[in-house]
Amino acid sequence: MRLTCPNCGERDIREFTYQGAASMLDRPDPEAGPEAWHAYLHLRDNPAGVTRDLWHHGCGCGAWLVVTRDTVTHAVHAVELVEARDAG
Amino acid sequence: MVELKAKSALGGQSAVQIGAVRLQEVEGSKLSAIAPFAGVDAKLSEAMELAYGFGFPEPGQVLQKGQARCVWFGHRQALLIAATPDETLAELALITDQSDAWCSVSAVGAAAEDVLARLCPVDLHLRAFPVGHTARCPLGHINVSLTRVAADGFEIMAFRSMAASLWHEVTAAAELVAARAALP
Ligand SMILES: [Zn+2]
Repeated sequence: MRLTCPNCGERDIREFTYQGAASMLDRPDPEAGPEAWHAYLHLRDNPAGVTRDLWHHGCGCGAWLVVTRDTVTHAVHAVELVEARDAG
Repeated sequence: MVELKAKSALGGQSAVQIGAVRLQEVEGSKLSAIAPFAGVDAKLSEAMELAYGFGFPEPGQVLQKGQARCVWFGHRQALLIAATPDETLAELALITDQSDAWCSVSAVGAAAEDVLARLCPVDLHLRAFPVGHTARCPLGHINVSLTRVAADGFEIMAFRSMAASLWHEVTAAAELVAARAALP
């Protein structure tokens, strides 16, 4: 598996660390209530198909990335900087 | 004041010629990391332009004017080499002194590309990695900053704590490339 880092270009999987679902970026409001916080902290989808997760380019530029990939075909559809998402 | 003896990361390791590559520690440059604050990229580039004659480098870029050099050093990070951080930068970026925190080794010669190609999983061909290009990438298991300084020359920087491992990796790879070249 190779990921195309927006800073570094196409790089081997060994340079990256997987963190978990990209839903971690969508932090609920502090007052959102226990249901929303329970879902945020503990509930994860396990899709057969397109999924989005967080990767860290630790042995490269050090950026946090959102990777959109397909768990069935193993295709990597997009690699974006978390920062770009925050700005948008 | 007590005069302490400065000791380089490789502690006086002399240069070696192995086959067609010469490996040598590069010593003593002043190093400063520049990490821009959010939303002031353009202002920072302007201030750097005024102070040094070059702006903030794009990913993979090395900028140079005279002795002063600025190497892209990671996501929203650059390393200023052989120049004093200008005080106009302090409001626009976090500046940290990195002198003595890094070990720098140069690899020069016809075999330099082949030696590093054994260690770094990036395309080092001159066409893909031209003079003035830089990358953060692994060298074996060490995270390094790799810059092409000439058609046949690279500069490798690793954390000072990795100095001995870096030297071991590059000399071992150079021996292997030289052994292969010596085959009939
Ligand atoms: Zn990267």
